[in-house]
Amino acid sequence: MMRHSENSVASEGVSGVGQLPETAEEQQPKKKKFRWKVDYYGILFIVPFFVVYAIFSLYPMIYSIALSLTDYEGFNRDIGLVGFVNFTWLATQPRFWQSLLNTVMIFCMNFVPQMLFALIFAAMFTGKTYKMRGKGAFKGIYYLPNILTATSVAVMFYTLFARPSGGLWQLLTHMGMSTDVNLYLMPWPSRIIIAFIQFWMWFGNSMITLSAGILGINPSVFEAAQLDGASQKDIFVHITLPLIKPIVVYSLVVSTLGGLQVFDIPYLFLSGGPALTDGRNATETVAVYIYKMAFTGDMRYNIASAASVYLFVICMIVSFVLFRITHSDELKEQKRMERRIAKRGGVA
Amino acid sequence: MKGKRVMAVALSAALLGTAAGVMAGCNNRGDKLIYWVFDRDMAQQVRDYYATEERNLGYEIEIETVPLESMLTRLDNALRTGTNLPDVVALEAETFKKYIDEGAQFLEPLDEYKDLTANMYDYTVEAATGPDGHLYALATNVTPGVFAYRRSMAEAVFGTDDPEEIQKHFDTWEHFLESARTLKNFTGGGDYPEGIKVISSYMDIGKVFCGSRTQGWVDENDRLVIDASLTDGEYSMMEVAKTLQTEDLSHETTSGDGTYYSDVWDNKVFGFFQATWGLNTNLKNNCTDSSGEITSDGDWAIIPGPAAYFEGGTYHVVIKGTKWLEEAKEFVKFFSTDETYLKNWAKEHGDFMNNKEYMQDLVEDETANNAFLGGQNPYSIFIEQAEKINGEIITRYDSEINSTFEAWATNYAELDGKAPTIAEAVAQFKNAVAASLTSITVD
Amino acid sequence: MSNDTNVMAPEALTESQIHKLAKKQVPLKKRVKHTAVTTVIYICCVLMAIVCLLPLWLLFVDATRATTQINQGMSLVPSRYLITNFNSLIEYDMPLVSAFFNSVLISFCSTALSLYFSTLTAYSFVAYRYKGQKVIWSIILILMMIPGQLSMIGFYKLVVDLGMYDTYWPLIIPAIAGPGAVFFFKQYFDANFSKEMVEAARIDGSSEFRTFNLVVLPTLAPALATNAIFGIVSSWNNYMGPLMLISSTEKYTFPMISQLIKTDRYSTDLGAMALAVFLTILPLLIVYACFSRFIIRGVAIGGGKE
Repeated sequence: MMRHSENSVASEGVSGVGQLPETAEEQQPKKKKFRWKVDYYGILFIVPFFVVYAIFSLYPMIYSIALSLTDYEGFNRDIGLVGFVNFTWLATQPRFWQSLLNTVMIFCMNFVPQMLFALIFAAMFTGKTYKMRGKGAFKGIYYLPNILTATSVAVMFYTLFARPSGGLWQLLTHMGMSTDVNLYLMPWPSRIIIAFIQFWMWFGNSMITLSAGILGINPSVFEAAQLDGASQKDIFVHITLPLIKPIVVYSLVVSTLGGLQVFDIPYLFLSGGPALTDGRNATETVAVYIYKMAFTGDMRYNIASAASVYLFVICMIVSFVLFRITHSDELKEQKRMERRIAKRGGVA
Repeated sequence: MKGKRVMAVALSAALLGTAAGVMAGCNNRGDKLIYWVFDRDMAQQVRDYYATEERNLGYEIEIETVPLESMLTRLDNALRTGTNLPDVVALEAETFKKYIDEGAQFLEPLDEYKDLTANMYDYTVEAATGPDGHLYALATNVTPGVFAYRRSMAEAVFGTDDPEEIQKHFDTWEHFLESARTLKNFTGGGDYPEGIKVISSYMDIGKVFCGSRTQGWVDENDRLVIDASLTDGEYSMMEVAKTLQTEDLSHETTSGDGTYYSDVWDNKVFGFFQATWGLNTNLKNNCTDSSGEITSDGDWAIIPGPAAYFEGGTYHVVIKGTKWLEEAKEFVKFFSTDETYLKNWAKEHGDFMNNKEYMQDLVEDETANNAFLGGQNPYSIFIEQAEKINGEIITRYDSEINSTFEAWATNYAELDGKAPTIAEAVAQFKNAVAASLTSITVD
Repeated sequence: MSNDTNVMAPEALTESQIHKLAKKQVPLKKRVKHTAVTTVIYICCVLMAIVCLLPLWLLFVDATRATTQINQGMSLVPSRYLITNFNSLIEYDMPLVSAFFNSVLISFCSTALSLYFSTLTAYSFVAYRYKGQKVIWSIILILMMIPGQLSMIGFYKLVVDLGMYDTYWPLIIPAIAGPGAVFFFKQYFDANFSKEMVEAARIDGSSEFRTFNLVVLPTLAPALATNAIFGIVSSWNNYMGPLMLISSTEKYTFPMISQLIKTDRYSTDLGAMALAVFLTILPLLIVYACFSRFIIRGVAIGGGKE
């Protein structure tokens, strides 16, 4: 009955193969009454999460969102409703749109190479061909940058690229850059450096996440595929990749959401600068804009709240799109896999 | 199996730990006067001069030392919710004005001390007076800026290290630039193979120009005002900055960077624009290289330089509704008026305090001569500069607008080929202000 | 079968294939190729390791240098001021030891809570079926998308209203409700959850809680270790939270201490500062060293299954 369809829905996040045997065995229609009682535990188990969330996250958030409809700024204590004025005002601000653009640019420049490298290295370390020594040490080292606090990371990199005695600045001048150049006055170099810092900080994190995913794959799947005569390339492309897809999707979604809200490094590094025309700034992300609007100058919480609502909506749209894309991919992949299995006379 | 048990034990231990930890965090705060300060030195002064055993206050002072930016965020939160407020707060000149403007809402007026202000520097009193005419803060120190230079270089280049003679070479921006060119072309027979840079960071002139304006950033109707000294003419801030940059007269560092500080002892840079406290913290603390072999200690002297300006300053306020009203007021009064404290502190740190009479005493006091400055007594120059400071130019927007203006002045000075004209840079500066400070009207 | 062109895709080979390769007596040429690939991989790994390690090394070097040396520019060689810096750190009279234990307490408790309740929540979605489950899952996904910067104002107000100001509660309890962690474990369950195991435990008469605690949790070891590191690091490095919510000096956390050195008026003792930052991350390095071994052991756990 109902449960059957719900089960197939529940496994939608899963990409086929590893799961196939389990889904097949799952439906044993006995002890129906008992199952119903047991399922109440499911509700019980999510209660702590939602209670705590409601109190510590939802309430503060609703409070903040409500501010976006008011004239709450500075130390003003008589708060009045003003409708959507803050939203329309924000939409006319080139600085706000630029901050959105900066966020996307910095994210793309950091995320694409990060995922690529993470995938390559994760594959390298989990593959069993080369009995590499010191895999653990390498993995450990790659994660180290993520442990450092953003404050010290920002200071460290700032010093490295600072004119006239930063180590990397000097290296660049030896490679032909004019000694007059101040990288921190130039929009693109500033963005690239920030993207690089982000890459450097998060590469190890992504790699570990992906490794954990690969290690979690049931080895018998590989064995089976091998017995079936699949080539290594096929195994990687058609088994490893699809099986770690949930983890890749996880990384993709979390990184994208994290990337859209990136604050620490852009704020600490150049505080959003260098300045562009029309009041725009070259490395100011949306989160930095929100922070500056709310906590410096006129302290316009209402504007900052409206900006966070915009950001929220954008995050929603982006993740919705991401899920749609990855989901449709999964279905295709599953079908392809089924065809393959059928052709070869079945694996599992 | 073993793993499972370990896991279970670890988890329950963690849960117990949580409970225990949180319980431990529940003790009540005793009855103490709470003082927030952004500066360790200031905190130490409270321990050394005020909350001492001999003075026996009869109550305790809880001193919380938090970096300035964090302290302000904390203070804003506390003021907004009206909870967890301190009793006395030390604020800093560039950011304190917004609290004075909101004084009626958040601060205790200190009007009974108005008669004590006769001996204080006028600008500190002006700046601490709210729009409603009440006095809301007292300044501990006064922070006029000077130009500090290397005696040995002055001797080599200008033939004398006497401050009065050297001042003649730096008394206007025109002379300043001329001398800068002389310094740049001076090699001293190989002693200075690359010549001498007049200052380390050319944008240091920003604080000099901004501190010597005749008009603040906004008028009484919150309209943006750009003082003519910043943009108009050959010796405006923007042009002087561009000249320093394009003619390679500065060392092209950024104020506060590592190289900026190593320039203090490294024989490349002639001088620094520094306020009173900066002579001690920025120059004296950095005047010797790590091997201890190269030092510029004692090789310095100060002159008024091309303009009188100020930078920084510590102000004390009493938070409205404090349970310790009398004690808090007494505290604030002490740090702006106590003779022993003010004089000792000035001598110990070469600092300049907020009392005309006592500082005048120090001019004649040989124990106030400063060894770092080659035995020069800095107080007559401090007094001369302090008298010229105009407190009306202090507004609540200073820290933000100053840095925005400096950013566009930098763009004008540096972006060869792509640099905006002055008119363009000013227009863009206005756009930037409009985009960040909505309460200001920008024409 | 493993045709030779695929030696170039090393990541796809499995152990048994190596044996086969060995058995087949690969021609010398191929073995040379194999060695070459290994060398290239090693070089890549080492290069990447240098990029990752260098700044940390620079930080350590700075911790051993005097402020004036740091101002002169970077160096790769440690100097001899470690003791001096340590002494000036002591002179600052900051509660280093208590701050350290405060941070340990907060990060350990919040991570433990986060791990337990996130797995429990995620488990609820894979082990049970109930009405509205899909909707609730979507809600958790949506919760992940809410930007956090601004709720600071509301959060502060809430903490004050609940009387939790200057306590560790608001730094620990919210860890129970981390949608990101739930999502992480749900994804992990999706790939690894074995329903038979749970059913078997039920038939044995194990209660649902017991099953979760003793049967399910241990199978999550690699994922728990991974997420524990993330949790500990982010809680340990949290500076803004404690700064807003903790006021008594004796309750300060470790990162707050290293920031306090900045309160020297307008200037900083960069050497002591670098040492403080280095000391701040040292415990993380140690914890991480332990956990990373655990992750590697996760291979064995995965291999032992079935």
